[in-house]
Amino acid sequence: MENVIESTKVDETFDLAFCEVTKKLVNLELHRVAEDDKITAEKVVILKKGYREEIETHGHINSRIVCHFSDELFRYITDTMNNGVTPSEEEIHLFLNEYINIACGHAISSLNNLTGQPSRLTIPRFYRNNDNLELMDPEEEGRYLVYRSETGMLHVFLFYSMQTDQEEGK
Amino acid sequence: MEKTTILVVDDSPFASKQIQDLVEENGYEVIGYAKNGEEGIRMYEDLHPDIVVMDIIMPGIDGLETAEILLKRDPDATILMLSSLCDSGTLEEVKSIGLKYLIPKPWEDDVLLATLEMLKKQRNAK
Repeated sequence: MENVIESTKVDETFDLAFCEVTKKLVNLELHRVAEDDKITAEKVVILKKGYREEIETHGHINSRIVCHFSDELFRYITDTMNNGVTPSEEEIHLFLNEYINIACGHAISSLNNLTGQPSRLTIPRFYRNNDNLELMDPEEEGRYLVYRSETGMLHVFLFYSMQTDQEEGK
Repeated sequence: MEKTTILVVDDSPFASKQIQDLVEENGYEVIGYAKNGEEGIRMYEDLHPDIVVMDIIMPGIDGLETAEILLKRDPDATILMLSSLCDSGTLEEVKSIGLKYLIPKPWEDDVLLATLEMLKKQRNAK
């Protein structure tokens, strides 16, 4: 078992999870765009407008995963998950919550199996045009993953830290 | 012949609708849909379903805790867990409360149906 996983392996795990889950749930191909994967203040600005989801993990991997959906991709995912009908304003977030729960659940399950240590997911939170962001923690490693599809873009900001053996009291 | 009845406990309308469509096409009857664990416990006691299909990650008490409460109150409760979190640790947690099956989300329809069929047979054999 690997106690700490290389960042490239983390990227690959999230790539696979987002691409496979998006294909299976809404029959859409996502492709990772080659971008500088470091998180910067300029990149984070995109999160203040439009649709975003946040989910956390706690346990061996403590992370905060923040996803920004372009308007087109947001509409495509929520409509498709609701059998082609636009969900009501009251429940539209539940569809995106489920999408992000499944995609991140897949990624975290794979990482849990690699480390042999448990981490748990929180309930996802949905935000629309919300500029209240508290993202930067110097203790956490950050990754910036961008995906394109024929119906829009997905930007994933991944902040995480993994506990070492000493921290876990071994 | 009476249909096997199912209570779905999942905060996602997407998952609940998908489960309902799939199982009702295959001879089961969904008699209730709860959006969280607390509602699931109340509905279980009111409706007495044959099988509970329940998500793990939900607001309030999660699916594992809900399943533990249901099993304490009714040791014969038949519960199938679903989750996006399907690592070996989560499976061990499911087994530790006395349940056998954990289906990953998004599920394969034939896997979900085959597991329900197995649970139905086990329940009828009791």
